[in-house]
Amino acid sequence: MTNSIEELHNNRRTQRGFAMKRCVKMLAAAVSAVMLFPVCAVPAHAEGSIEDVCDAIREIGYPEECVKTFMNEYETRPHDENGMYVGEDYWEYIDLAENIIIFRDLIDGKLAAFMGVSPEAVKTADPSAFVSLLPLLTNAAPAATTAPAAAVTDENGQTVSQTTVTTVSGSEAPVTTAVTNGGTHTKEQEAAFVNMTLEEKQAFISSLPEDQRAAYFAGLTPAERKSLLKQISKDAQADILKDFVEAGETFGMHVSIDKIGDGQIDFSVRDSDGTLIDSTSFGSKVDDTGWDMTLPVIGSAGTILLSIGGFGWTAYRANKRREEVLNGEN
Amino acid sequence: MAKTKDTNQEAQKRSGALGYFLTPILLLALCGGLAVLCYSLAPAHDVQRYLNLAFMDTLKVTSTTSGLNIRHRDIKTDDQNTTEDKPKLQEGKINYPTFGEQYAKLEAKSINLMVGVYYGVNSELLSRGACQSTQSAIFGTVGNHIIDAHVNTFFAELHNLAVGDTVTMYTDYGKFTYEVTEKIEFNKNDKKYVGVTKDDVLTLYTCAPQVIGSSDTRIGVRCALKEKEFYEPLES
Repeated sequence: MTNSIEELHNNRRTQRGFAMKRCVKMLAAAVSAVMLFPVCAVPAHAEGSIEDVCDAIREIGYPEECVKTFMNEYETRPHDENGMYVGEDYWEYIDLAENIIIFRDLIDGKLAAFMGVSPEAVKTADPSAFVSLLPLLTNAAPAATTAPAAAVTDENGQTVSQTTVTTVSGSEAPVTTAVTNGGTHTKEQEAAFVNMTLEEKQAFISSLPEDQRAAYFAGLTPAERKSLLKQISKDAQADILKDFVEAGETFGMHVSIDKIGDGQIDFSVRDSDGTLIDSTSFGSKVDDTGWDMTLPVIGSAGTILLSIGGFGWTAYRANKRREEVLNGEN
Repeated sequence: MAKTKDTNQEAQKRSGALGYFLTPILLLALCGGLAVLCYSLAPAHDVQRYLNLAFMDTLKVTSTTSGLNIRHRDIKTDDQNTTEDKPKLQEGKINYPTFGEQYAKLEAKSINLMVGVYYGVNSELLSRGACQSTQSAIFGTVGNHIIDAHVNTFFAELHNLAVGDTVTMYTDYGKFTYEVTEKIEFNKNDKKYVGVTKDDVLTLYTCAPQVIGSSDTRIGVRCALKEKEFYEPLES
């Protein structure tokens, strides 16, 4: 491996900087939510390692199956302790990881735009500016009280003010209640957001003060991103998919979307020579391992029945002719 | 009277000719229908073998998927790679496969099964053998090794595997022996058995047999690793 990687190093082209169209094949597979989580944009090791790339893949919400596919492919490509070859180009792990995170931001921007929030504002927003509110969704009869909850202190000893808002009655309208943790995107917040319908998510985002809407998107968790991506319109999903496909093209990775449906996206990836590198789907997949034999079975059964019927008819005619001959002689 | 007799004889000749003409056609249709029915219901790969012999392999389908590079490794399924004197290596070098490469052979003696395993899944590879998902662990590493095949062909007898049966995976870098621990059945939308695991397990599945239509149910087995043997040590 060392010899081959040295030879490749002699001919390599290293491209640095943000290159949106730089995409390893698994990026094209991901139409999952890309989460902006700036804390994790910093690789664990200063020099970068393959684990940093895997962590970046997980950060943007890719399932573990995608990480496994990536590692399987990684083992077949020339690599060393600092980087690996993607196509003909050598990429250092730290650059790969950073570009994955940057690519995630692009998706976050599109999601924000879909929800009526400026993508530019999301880029510059501070996720910690979002004061976590815990939306409580209920199908029960409306509550009429609006008594403020008791004040609670956060981990820094600061008192976090709370407001309780009770909205109009009806099972469709969300009831929001502030939480007291002083943080952003708590587990409760995440669970509540994930469980919302798209309309409820839009209502929730709209209910936030304007300065906090972008902050919310700047702090999306992978689960929140995933849930949003599944719910946005087909046109919006196709737009995000198009970005993934175009991203692969620049690096000689030709991605083709084979099938979208049943909550699954099947795609194929080919290299610059046209060699099929992978044919898989985003997320784990149960394959179709049975042929539909309805037509051959019914067709053959029908043919057999017709044949037997034909024999019967032929025998009947022959018998009738024999009788006619006999009657004619008599 | 004589004229009527002549007309009748003419009519009889024509109807007799019709019988002579129809009989071979009906016979051909009957035999063809029976052949198609047998091909539909029987494991197709067995029939295909004889068809290949009869037609001098001209029925073998060359790769039709654009860019699919199908390759076969030389994999020995006996113990030629190891001797009793050599200690069995528990860790060793792994030759990672690429998409479309037959890099393993699966053997289950209890159901008389021996089938090549391709890395990657698509319709063309499924028609040639069993396929391993690219999202699963390569043999020799720890994780869920997911292999599926058509119920109409190679995995027609998979449902006959019982708990305790042995399944052996042969590769050109090692031999891995598994034991069936449970029989599984799940809906195609249930991803429980095809996800990543921390343990070394082998998951084999196929569609539930169904004559008319295709089934949404998958059946198979889960196996635990019993023994592993690498042929070459890890590079220092």
